[in-house]
This record gives sequence, structure tokens and C-alpha cells, in this order.
Amino acid sequence: MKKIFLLFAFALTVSVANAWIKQCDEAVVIVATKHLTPKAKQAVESYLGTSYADDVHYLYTLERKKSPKYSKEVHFVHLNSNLQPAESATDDALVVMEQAISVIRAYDNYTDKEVKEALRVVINLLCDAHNLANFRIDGVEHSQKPFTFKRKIYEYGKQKDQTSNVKWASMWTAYCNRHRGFSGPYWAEDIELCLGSKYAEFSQGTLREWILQNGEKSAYYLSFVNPDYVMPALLFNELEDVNYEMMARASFRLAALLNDLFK
Amino acid sequence: MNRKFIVILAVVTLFVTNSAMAWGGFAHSAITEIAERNLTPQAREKIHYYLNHSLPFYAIWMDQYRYTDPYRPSGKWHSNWMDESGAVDMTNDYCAAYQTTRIWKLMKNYQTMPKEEVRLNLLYLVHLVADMHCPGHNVWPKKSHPQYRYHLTNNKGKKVSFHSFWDNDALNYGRKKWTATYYADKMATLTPKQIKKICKGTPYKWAVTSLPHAEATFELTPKGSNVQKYTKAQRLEMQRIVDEEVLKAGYRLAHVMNQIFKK
Repeated sequence: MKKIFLLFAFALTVSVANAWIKQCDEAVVIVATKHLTPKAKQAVESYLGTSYADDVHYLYTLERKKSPKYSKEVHFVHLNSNLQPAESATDDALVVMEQAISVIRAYDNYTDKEVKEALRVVINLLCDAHNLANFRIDGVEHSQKPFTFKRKIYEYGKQKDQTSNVKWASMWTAYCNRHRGFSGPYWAEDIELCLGSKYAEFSQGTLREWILQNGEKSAYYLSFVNPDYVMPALLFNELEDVNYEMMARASFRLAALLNDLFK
Repeated sequence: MNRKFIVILAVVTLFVTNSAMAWGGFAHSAITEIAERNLTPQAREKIHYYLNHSLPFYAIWMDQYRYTDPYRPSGKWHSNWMDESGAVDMTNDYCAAYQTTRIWKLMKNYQTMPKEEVRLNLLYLVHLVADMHCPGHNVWPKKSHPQYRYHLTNNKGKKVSFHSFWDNDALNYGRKKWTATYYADKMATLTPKQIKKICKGTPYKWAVTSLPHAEATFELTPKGSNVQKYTKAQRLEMQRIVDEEVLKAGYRLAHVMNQIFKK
């Protein structure tokens, strides 16, 4: 009996890495593919084949195996209190992505299998690093582990004080879940329709600049969203636009990165 | 032993509930997808200008914002309201058919309206045309028609309200993996002549012609019944009703949009 309770407790407290839902993650890769140069597209396909949207979950698939190469912390970006990369971090999304990128750049020195793995790691982690729940920030205690806050459901009337619990991590996933019946290609089409014109703006900069920019955003929200916070209903709705923009940024930046790696 | 079972069940539920599908959202996605496919190029272009997304993206916007200012007056527009005689009450501000008529008329002058106002009214129409076709979205005066305020057991063995069953479960049966695109591919195959026939009339007439379906739902899913025990024919009949309403709503939504933006 005790073991079962322990299992239950573990299930509640385990450090869960936060991807968006499958369809949204796939959409990031589908949109990115549309923005690849012919040269980059050919190179990526030579390693991953023509259908690689699933690679956005590559590390999650590895984690199900007995001895994964990285811990689950690899999905998170670790920042110091100045919002710069934390020096001590090893299993860190930015560190591991930069290592993978160096493998891809020097592909002559590596086997195809190693380059293939590096590509998959980059696709997976670049996507993860655009989910604002995936930032651990020194000095922001509640960013170090999963936490729950409250959000108002109603803003008026007798029920105005009614709230529901929201997990910081699942909040960003919940926005994707709002659109029942959207497939990956459908999300991709909508992202192109809505924010396709912002490709140049969103993909400007370097990998490090992108991730630190995301870190600043995450830190901003974490500065007031904490376990004691009650989020107004309207703000909860409006943050969907922030999440949507992060998906577009992830898509365009993945394309820009791959274009640069295979130019 | 029993306690053990309950704890195991709780652990299993913890993982299962995250992936449960809500079909209210699916029906709305399917309706807007059908509408999107039947827009004239001119209407599509205008809608993109005002909404900056495809129609399905805003399928449940009205549900998300109904509890927050400044949108709360629209919170009660989601159903067709009947008068004492059982007729659709077009004098009731809450009635979906009344609001659809009002907004449609207002939008005839969209060119002279501020962009934000056009956008908001489009968001209302996207949802209202769909909701007024939901068999469970008909409100009779409580005194004369108390019959729909009851619960039944759905196909998963869960006790649900009559309203929730027809919003969420009826369309879902046997279609767990369907996307909105797939639904539209498979179901929205009417000929132009059939579509023209469906779109003839006014929102009032549409509401009136949907009433027999709403009334049939009481007989199909009586108080306290268990859908798991229904015959295949009963289940197919439930689905036929919902499918028919979803198709009508999709084509009619496109018709309303096409009419508004024909100039």
C-alpha cells in the first residue's frame, strides 16, 4: 500500500519537461520546413528523410529507454539571476543545442549517425526552449520545480471569486488544447496565415540571443505568476497570443538555424 | 484491496484525464472548417483582414471570453430561447437566432464600422451560428418544459447532463482520432444544389427547422438512461442528428459570411 502511495506522490511531483501538445510541436517543424532553402532542405532530408516532424519529440522518445543520454533537465534552459546562461549547467537545453550545432557544423569529422542525432536534438530542444515554462532561473524559487497557481474563471457576479488551479507548465499546453480537432498541418497553415509575414523579424539574431530573449519573457511572467498568484480571467485568455507567437518564433528560428547550418 | 484499487485508479486517472477530448470544441472546429472551405475568395480575404486567423482558430472564442468584461453581456446568447408557447422567441435578447439576425443585419454596413467592431461581430457570428444548431442549446421555459434538465450516463460510463451529452458526447462516438479536417473531408460532401437549399431562409427559420431534432433528443436520451446500453441503431440515430446539424451550421456560417462580404 505504501508503495502505491509513493508512486502516486511521485507522479504528482516528478519534474515534467514541457512540450506543447504533439500537433503544435509538429506544426513548428512543418512551418520550419516551408522556410528552408532548397540546399538546407536537401541536407536535412538526407539525414532525417522527408518526414521528420516526429523528431521534435526525439529526446522524449529516448527518455522512455532504460539509459537515456540526458536527464529530463535537458529540456530546460538554466539562467542565472542576471538572466544569462548559468555556468554550472550541463544537462541544459542551450548547452546541449550548442554542442549539437558544433557537431553539425563539423559534419566531416562525425559519422552520419552522429550528425543525424545532433539534428534531432536541435529540433527537439529549440522547440522546447520556446515554451515559456521551460526556464529555470536562479533566485526565482518557483521556477525550479513544477508549481500551481490559481486563475479566476468569472470576473463578475456572485461567482466572481471562483477560481481553478492551473499548473504553470500545463498552462502553455492548454492553449494548444483549446483548438480541438486541429492537426499539425492545420496549425502550421494557421501560423503561416497569421504570422508568416513576420518571418524576417522573428528569425533575426543568433541562437543565444533567441533563447535569452525567451528567458527574459519567462522571467517577466514568473515575476508575478507564483504559487500565491490569482490570474485575472482576461489575462489568462490574452496570454494565448503570447504562446501562439512563441510557436511562430520557434518555427521561423528553426528554419533560420537550419538554413545557416547548411548554407 | 478496495483501497488499493481506488489508489491505483486515482493514479491512472491522473494520466488519462490530460488527454481526454472535449467534443464541444471539436464540433465547433468542424463547423468552422466546413465554413472556411465554403467561403468565397472575397469573403476569405476580408475575414483574414479582420481576424488575422482562419475561422476555426476562433471557433470557441465566445466560450473563452464569456465570463470576462467587456464581453460578458454575450454570455447568455449561446442558446435559442423559446416562449411559453414553445416558439423561438425573437423578442428575447438572449436568443442565439435573434442575436445572429441582429449582427448579420448590422454587418451589412461593415465598411463604415471600426475594424475592432467588425472583428468582434465576426467572432460572435462564428460561434452563434454554430451554437444555434446544437440540439442541446434550446431553452424552454422551466415551468412548461422541465424535461431537459436531467442527467444520463454517457458512452464512457460517466454521469453527464443532457446539455453536456449533446454538446460533447453524441458527435464523438467512435471518432476519437478524427480531426476537423478529416471530418470536413468525410462529411461535407453536399452538392451546390443541396447547400443552396440548406442556406435558404433566415436564422429564425433555421432555428425553427432545427427544433424537431432538439425535441427528438429527449426521446433518444431519456432521463437516467445509459448510452452504453443503447443499440447500434440508437447510437447511429444520435450521430445522424448531430452530423446533420453540424453540416447545416457549417454551410450556413459560410453563407452568412459570404453574404456580408459580397460587397
